[in-house]
Amino acid sequence: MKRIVVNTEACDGCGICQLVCSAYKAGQWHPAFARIKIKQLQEFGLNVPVVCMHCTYPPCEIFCVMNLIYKDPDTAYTLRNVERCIGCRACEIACPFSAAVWDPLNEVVVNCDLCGGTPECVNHCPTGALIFMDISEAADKKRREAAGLRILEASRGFSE
Amino acid sequence: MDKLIFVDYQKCVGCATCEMVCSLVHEDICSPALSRIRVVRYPTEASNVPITCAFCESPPCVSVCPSGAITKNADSGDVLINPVLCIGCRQCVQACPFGHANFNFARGTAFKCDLCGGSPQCVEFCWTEALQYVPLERALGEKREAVGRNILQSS
Amino acid sequence: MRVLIIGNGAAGNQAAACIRKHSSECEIVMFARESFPEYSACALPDVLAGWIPLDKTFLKTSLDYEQLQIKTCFGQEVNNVDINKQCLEAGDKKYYYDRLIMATGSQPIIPKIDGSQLNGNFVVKTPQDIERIIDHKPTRAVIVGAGNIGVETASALRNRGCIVYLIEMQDRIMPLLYDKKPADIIQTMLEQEDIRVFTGERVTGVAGEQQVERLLTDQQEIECDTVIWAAGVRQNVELARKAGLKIGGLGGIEVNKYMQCSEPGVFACGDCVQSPHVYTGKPSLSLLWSSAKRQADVAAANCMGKLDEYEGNCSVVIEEIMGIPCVAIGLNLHGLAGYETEVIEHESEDLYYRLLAVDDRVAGFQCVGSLEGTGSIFTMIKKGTPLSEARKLLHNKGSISTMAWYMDSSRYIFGEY
Repeated sequence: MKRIVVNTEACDGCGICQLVCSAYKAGQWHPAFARIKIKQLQEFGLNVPVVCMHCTYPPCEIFCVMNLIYKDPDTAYTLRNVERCIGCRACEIACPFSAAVWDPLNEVVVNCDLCGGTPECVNHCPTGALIFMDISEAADKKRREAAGLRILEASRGFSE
Repeated sequence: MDKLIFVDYQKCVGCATCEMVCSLVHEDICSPALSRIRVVRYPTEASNVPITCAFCESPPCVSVCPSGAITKNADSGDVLINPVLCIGCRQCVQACPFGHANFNFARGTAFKCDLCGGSPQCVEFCWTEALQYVPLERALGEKREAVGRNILQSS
Repeated sequence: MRVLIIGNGAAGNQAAACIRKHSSECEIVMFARESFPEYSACALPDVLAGWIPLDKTFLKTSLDYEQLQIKTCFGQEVNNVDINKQCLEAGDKKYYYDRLIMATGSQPIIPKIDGSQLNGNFVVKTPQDIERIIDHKPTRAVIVGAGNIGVETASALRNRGCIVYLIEMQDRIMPLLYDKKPADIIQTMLEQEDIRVFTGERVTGVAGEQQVERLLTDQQEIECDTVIWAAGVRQNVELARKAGLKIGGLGGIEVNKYMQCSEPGVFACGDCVQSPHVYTGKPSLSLLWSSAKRQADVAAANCMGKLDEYEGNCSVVIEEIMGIPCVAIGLNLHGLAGYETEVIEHESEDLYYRLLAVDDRVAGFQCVGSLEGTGSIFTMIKKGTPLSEARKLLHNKGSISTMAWYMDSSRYIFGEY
């Protein structure tokens, strides 16, 4: 089960993911239409892409007054029947990650659909900050890093 | 929290007993992928590092969880996931610096070490004593002693 | 297993869908007084305004019920529930159940005053109500009660080109959601839309021969042809009361956090129950779509033997007036009466917000002008994150890098712009 995993340190905030997303998904070339948003944390010098997490029990699904948000039974993506959206924007508040995005053109709310399995933002990310990978693989990777640190520390402490 | 799972990775042989036991206890199946404790193996360095929850003082998984499903008990210091409240957003997996918090796709919720409610089974079954469930002070004392012995021998 | 569901609203349908998710074999039968499929009550003002067609408010067709293998007995009133025999009577038939879910909903109140039965008195609850209002061809309409339904209906009728009056008994509009200041800002916005708003007035009667002609308040007479009552709702609990279920002090069915009623095997969810508030823990009524659906999820899971808990009510109401979003989350000062409340507020040309904190916890939030960061504020209210901890997190590079979405709320938490 692959999802978009963010490597915060690698993101330089170029914004290509937003532009690519707006081009593929809205036919526009402007970050306002993107479903992935880069949060700029200027005081820390950080740029963090934020995108739909495809929760198992999505809060947005509960809040949708038109019941148009659903979990795809095969892929477990959180998807929408956008043509029924009346633009009440309740899901925007329900989403803790601000990943439900207001589309000002069609006056509906949209979210990332992972481009059906090949997310274009990941394909075009020049720095490798966005990775499309299995979530447990991501945990494995992090665990390896943490363990590597420990071994490094241990070898320093005991051999010297 | 007075007791914690203390890992002496010098003793770990990477046998995966802890992973088998953990997944068997929690998921009724022997599958290291569903184990809370995981062993990172470095075959070329002949090192094995079991990684489990550090029970951080201010755990990132607790701050990041949007549904309040992960809580740190102020008295015991345990950090536990309540699967009933978990919405499956995997923020904790991304936030945990040790890669300990993990996600069960079949169930759709995150999981992490719960110390088996007070008697961690991975420790019970660890035959090399790489894992010990001991008070912090005792573990540190043993470590201090080992370092002291090391210095004595080399001087 | 056989589950009977009384009610065909948001809660009833969500419960049915959720049960079907848990089990494909379980027999589900739904009863409803109405003969039409599930509809979205929240979309009705949009229909009235003419933005969307009426058939778009229907969320299911009879085919959908078939696909989910839900048997429907619509247009059939449930007369009686016998909890000891686990059986209910509808029409002249008896239906036995293993589990019963009560989702009987609520009913708008038309007060029994002079003229309230005249032609031209309406409520906004079902698609039929909207059809009737549109057929009536209103030109001068008075909306009694400026809650969120009242305000949305007023906006919608204004959009149809009616002359619209909005009457509220209390000193401000949306008194249960907003405090005086944001309510005044919203009132000004409504008045710019040419809706005539009168607060602090009590309606005393409706005058007219056969048709509504005038609405009388304690201060004036308003010439009108339509009166829309949006002055509160009543829980439909007669059936539950007859069955011997415990009814709470606020008029809703009493349930525990598993949505279980006082009798075993009976669950209730939706408008008809009262459940603890997420902040105060005191019993409260929540007449919101989202609460109904979440409660239904919990009821369905528990009646299938799966564990789920309801976190508690937390109101989230959003309105768009002239394209400007207005949000109220959690409690306002009225709801927090008796608590020592810290108010963090900010006002500028295009944005107003106020954050209410009690004992270092966010209890309520009201904002006019923007939706940015409201998601994380709502999360904080639900989760009970201490304000001091949130401030610490926002200053910590290590933590904020994994929760960048939290940053949106920083201006509210620090009271900056």
